[in-house]
Amino acid sequence: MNCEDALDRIDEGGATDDVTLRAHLAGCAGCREALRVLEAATAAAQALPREITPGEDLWPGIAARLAPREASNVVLFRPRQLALSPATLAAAAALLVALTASFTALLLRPAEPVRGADAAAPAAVARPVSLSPEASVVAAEEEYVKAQAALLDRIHASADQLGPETVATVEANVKVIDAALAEIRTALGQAPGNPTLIRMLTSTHRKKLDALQRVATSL
Amino acid sequence: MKSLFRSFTYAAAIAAVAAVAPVALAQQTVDAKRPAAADVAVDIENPGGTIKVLGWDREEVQVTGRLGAGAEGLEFEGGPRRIQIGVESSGPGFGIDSELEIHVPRGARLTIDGFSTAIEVRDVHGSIKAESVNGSLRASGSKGEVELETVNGSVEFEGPASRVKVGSVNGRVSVRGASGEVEAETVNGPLEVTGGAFQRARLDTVNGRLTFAGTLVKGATLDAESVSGDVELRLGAPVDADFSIATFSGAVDNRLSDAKAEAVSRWTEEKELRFSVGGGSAKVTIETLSGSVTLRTDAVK
Amino acid sequence: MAAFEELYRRNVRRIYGLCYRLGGGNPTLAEELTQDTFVRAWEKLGGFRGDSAFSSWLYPMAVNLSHSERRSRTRRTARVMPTDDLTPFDKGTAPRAPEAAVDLERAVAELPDGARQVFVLHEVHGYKHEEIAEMTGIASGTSKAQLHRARRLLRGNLAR
Repeated sequence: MNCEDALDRIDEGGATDDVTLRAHLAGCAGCREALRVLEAATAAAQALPREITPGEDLWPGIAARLAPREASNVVLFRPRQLALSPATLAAAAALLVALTASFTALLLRPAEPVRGADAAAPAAVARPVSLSPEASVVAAEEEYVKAQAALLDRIHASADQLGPETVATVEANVKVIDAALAEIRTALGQAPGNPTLIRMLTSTHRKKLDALQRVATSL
Repeated sequence: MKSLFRSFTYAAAIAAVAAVAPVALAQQTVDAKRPAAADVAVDIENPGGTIKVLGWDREEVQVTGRLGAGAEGLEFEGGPRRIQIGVESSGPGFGIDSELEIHVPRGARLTIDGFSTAIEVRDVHGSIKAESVNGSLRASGSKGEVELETVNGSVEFEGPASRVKVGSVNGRVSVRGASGEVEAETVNGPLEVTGGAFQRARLDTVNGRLTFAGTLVKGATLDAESVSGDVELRLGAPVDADFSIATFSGAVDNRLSDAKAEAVSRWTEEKELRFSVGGGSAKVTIETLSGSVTLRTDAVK
Repeated sequence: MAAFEELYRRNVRRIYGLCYRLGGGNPTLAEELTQDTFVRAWEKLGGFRGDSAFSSWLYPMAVNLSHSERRSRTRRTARVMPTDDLTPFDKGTAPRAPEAAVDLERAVAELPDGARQVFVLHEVHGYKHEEIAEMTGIASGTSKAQLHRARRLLRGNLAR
């Protein structure tokens, strides 16, 4: 390997595990020095502060350019930017994740032992058929219901922008999902703690939240 | 505002229309071109009307069409690696109907955003990501990743894509010819996936009819969930999978083996069916509340 | 807008830092690019899905703006570009090592635009070639080639 090839390898960044290159470096002070220079430069680059404070506050200049658009309401198409702050979106996404996790945990905790005991000795356990879902189900659903109601409120408040077709579609599908949720709840009343039904209840709530979010965040 | 003005002027120039009193202009026609790389990334936004994207053999992006009343102009900038196309509007954009026909290099990668917009993509081989709220989405040809989502309207994809994610709240969803990974969801509309060999399939509906026809490769997973819609799997031979089916009150029709669904409770109609065919290398899980489940083999169409 | 100002306050130092280096260490240009980035972000706010950090959503915008700014500037004025050719490595003299970050900043600022962009994104900000490709619209192979070129030039500049 000559110096040209060696330097080429060094610049490729493959210096450490390249046997031929190492052999060359062992006998060539110039290339060793080149490698040292580059490694020092890379280390220095990685150590450079990523954050730098501007010499002056740039916000007034930015705000001045944002304000006229708000006043005249001229926008580059993205109706979305009108109603929703990124913070709201991030919060909605976080809520979704948190809800799904806590919901499943909350429901599965009291559910599993019941089912286990049932499966072990089905004949010995006389299980009364209950028509109302367990208290834990009701409690866990509350959070979903709250989030969904908030989104639905926002959709109704923006009905002018969304247009009647969209709002009608949302309402029709909310009905479909609510009917499905009711069906699942009834089934859970008959088979409390059934993990399949609990998963289904969670995922149906998630679908409802998703659908509402898709519309609400399209504003 | 700077960028708005720049693109505004440009759009006005190409449309040969004065840039004043935009609302008074009933319609503006558009016809413009820009050079583009073969795998150019194209971002398209149109709040209402139609977006039609067609792949062609030229290294150029061309936009033709008509901007609806209320549109301020058309943003058309960037290139050759990334191009932005967007209908600019005064006010929230709702109610403006523009028709855009856009030719792009076949290898283009597309990101399309609409609101009351029907979107169609043909003969584009790169990745496609398209979203609308009120409007159908149709795409074909992509060999890459495809993501199509709307709230109200049907979603159709046909092509050899290796990763597909499709969804509609209220409408039919169909995927044909894909393989690899597929994720499909509807709330209220039939869901149909027909294709080649899949590694992962996730199919979800609330009350639509769910149909899957395809082959599961070694180690594949298929998860299907439906509340009240019926589920039918037509699996390409030879079937080699573990099956786990659970339904609360639906019927189970298993034509893959002699195994029959068994009641799991004395108090309800809950049924479960677990069995293996072949070595059981793939894993199939189906859960329904009242939807019936049919399992059978079928040659892939 | 109060919420947006909060987002600005939280992210301005990172974005300014990026614009400063992408723009070749020119504070006036960096300020302009930073302002443009936030204005663009405001216009495109609806595209932010909340599934990534706001700062990582801003980065590609800053990169794109600095890229298009550069193109228009190059068209407007004929700039004196640093030569791409290396002074051949002189094995006879002991090269001087970069002792301070100041030397490096200067050397980075002198890199040609494409090489500087990739070097800054890759080495200073820690992006992978695939991410750089996605952000800038260049192929990831081109990104690798630019990094290679940047290293070669830096080595030359710093060793002189």
